[in-house]
Amino acid sequence: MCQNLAHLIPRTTPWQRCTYCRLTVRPAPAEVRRRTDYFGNAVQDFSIHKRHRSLRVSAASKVDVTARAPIVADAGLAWDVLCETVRRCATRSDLDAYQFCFPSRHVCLADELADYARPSFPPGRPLWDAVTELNARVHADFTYDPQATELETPCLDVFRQRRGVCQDLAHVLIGCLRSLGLPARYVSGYLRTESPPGKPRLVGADASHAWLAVYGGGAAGWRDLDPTNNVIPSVDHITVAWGRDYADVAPIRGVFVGGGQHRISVSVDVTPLDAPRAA
Amino acid sequence: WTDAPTGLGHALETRLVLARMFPGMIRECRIDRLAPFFVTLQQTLRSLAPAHRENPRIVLLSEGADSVQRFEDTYLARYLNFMLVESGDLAVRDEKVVLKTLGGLLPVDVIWRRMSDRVCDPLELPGDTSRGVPGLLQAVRASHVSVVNALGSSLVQAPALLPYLPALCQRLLRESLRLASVETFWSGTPLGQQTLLAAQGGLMFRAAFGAAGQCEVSPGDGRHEPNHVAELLRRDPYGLVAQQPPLSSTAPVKTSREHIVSAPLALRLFAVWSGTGYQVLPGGLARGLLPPVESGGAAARVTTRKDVWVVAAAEISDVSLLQSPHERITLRRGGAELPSRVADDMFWLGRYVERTDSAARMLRSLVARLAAETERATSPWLAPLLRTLVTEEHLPRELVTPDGNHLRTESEAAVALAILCVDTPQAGFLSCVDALSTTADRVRDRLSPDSWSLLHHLRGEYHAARGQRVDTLADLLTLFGNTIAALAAFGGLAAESMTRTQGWRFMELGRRLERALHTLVLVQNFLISHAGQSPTLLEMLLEVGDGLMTYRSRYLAQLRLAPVLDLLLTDETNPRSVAYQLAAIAQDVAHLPPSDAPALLSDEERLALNMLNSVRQVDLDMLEQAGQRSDRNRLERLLSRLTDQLPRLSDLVSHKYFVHAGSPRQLAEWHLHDRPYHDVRVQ
Repeated sequence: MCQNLAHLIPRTTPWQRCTYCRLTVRPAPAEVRRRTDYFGNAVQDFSIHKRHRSLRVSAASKVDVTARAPIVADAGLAWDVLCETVRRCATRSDLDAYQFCFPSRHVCLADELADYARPSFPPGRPLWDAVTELNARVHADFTYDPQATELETPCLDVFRQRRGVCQDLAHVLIGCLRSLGLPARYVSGYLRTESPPGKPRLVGADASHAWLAVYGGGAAGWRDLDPTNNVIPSVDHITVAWGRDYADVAPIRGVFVGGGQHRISVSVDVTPLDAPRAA
Repeated sequence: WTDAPTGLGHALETRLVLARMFPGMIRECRIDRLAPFFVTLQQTLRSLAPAHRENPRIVLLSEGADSVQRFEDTYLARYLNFMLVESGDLAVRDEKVVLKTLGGLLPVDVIWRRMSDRVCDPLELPGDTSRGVPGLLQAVRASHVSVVNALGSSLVQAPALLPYLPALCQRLLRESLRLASVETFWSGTPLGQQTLLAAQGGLMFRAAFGAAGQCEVSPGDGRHEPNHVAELLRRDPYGLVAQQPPLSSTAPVKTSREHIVSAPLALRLFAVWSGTGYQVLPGGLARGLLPPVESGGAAARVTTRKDVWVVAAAEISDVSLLQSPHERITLRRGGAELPSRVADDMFWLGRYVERTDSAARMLRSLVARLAAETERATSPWLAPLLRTLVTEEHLPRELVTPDGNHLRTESEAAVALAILCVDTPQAGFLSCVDALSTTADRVRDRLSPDSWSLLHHLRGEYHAARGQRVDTLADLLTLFGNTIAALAAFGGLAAESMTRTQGWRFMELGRRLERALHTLVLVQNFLISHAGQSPTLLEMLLEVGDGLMTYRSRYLAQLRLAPVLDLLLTDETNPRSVAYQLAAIAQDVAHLPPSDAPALLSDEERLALNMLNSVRQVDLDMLEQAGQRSDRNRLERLLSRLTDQLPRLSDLVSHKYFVHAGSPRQLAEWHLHDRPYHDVRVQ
């Protein structure tokens, strides 16, 4: 018997629209409910009351993705000015963004992280410049290593050993930004499985992927960054959910009653159905 | 305190005790009664039932048997006539909260929670899975249950909000605060930061959003340094508040050495929403802090309790929730609805009692023979006894040689220490004793004080023996003798003093199952796997099976195989025989709560009857041929079939009655890419 909470269906944003979604659970659950959580993510609740030895959850969805407008380095908006603006919470969007400046379950604030980030953030530098440089530095300095960490490995440990998976890199980069006072949130989603011809295959394409988004002020809004692949997410990244960190958007979470050990396996496939259209 | 305020039960208990001791004084001083407050509390809880149901089911959600508040929870539940439940008794089905009982799932309308809101739902608020009801948040969102105090109300008691209360009061209620609070500065404002950094001495610092009462740094603490506060502020700029330490009023307090001293007093008051306003308890909980010298300089200071009296302004109403002597009472049999968790625990209590008893008997016989220093290495009974002990995990495997026939060491001390599991506390006989007392703790409120204290002392004796590193076999003998006596006393109390409820029945079922299984394993190990029936072997078997005296009274000194087997397997007049257990099991299973198809026998009833009948059909030939290698097979086959069927019966019963009552575990959270899976947090 188990009760579960899943974030598996992509949410609708200005650049992507989920036109079809289906969640299949075997054995058939006693109840399936959909709702929206505090962050606006689509949540699926289901519970199974029968005895079962295996649980299989499949989520299928069709998503329309449009390319996002390329970001021009903002000549005017300096990162330290943005920090102050956000802290004043003068507008609704600033207030909403402000909550992402604080430590959360998987992300801590620390001097070490701020010191690591500071070389990219001299006073007065435009935000987007600084942030993309830090993204590239994290990509270069950290090694992708699935064996190095576990779910509960603290953010600082990951930072010190410079190894981890996409989830860890996202947490570290979020930690660096938050330690400087900038709002950053965690994004979980899917990557296109087969990259277009001529482009290298993206890391993280066979399972859920994690990246982050940085707040650029009321006008610019939230903009995504992928430190694992050192890219700016666009049509190859499908956003499923966002929150303060992994704990808010775990693809599936559950409590069950039963005995013995259990194993989990995950696989994700993302294929384009149409040729990409111009934005 | 708005989260899950404690102390109400203690205040009530104190008043009831004093009222019994000084009724005249209370009447003369015209002290206001507490009962009207509790009547309001009951009424408010009833009115909060969703959809205004008539006769809502109200439960008191307690943290469990280990919690410090357990006494209070039980006391309040009994006084107010609410059902006391733990998280494991509740579940959410179809967004409604239900109570898991033997009779099925009963709907719950109002939950009075006595645990912090942060741990109330392990599904949405990941944390400790052993507490909370998965899916509770969703049930609250769907308005199918009311939780009191509402989830999230712990925010209101955050010390960081204290500086804002006067202004809030003006803005919301257009009046000033009637009761001023201690002056508080929060580090989240620039003024607050300055105050905290500047006025370092003389201020008390606390966590701004943590549990009320936590102190970070306080004057005269010794830990107080000027840089410490600055350091804390840098790490968490919003996390500190500073307060003037309040000047406490004092009251005379009697110390343990019978002096009267003046001690600072802390007064705790309670208020409940009455539908139109707040009603304050005309009383409260007062605690006096004894001076540290008296309490031996311990870190936690000892407190004494005082009752709070409020002189009534008007006529005192004659309200009481305790039953009036003139009220007509309906007689009842059987307890209230039995939660599945309690039935599960009683079943396992029976099993552990029996397991401990049989292990103690075997170990006693082993140790007695070893201590006597007669017939060591060549004893025919040593190998099967050791094998039984090791398979049932009462003796560490390392103590026995690989062929299983001897003890690895001859040293008396080493054997004694190994048996007491001095170095490996999780394994062996001691883990059995621990499991027994843990289970007894969980059902403590269902056992009589005598029964419970028997089991409690048992654990104490073992831990004392381990602590003193008892290493003589003679002392071990005393220990085992005491164990057997204590468990026999427990069994006697259960037989003579426990009312025949379903809880009792599950405990009995557990005992019979375990005893049958153990006797079968014993007989198999002693006879079937070991050829030859030397008299010493048979004698040991009878001794461990507690049938030596009966055998001698029937057959005098002749130790032969068939009569021994008859006594232990097929004699239904012997309470230790397998046949007796199976007959009792069939009886118990037939009396369990009715299933959906009462016309036909249930699976477990059929299995129990099947086992009983197969034992009843054993004939003398089978028993006599059991000794011979060739035709031993019939009995051997029967025994191994029974050994397989008994655990199956246990499983059937568990799945039917306890399946709701397993302990919850967190699904290992998914991992990105191919990270190895996370170990499950096991209860």
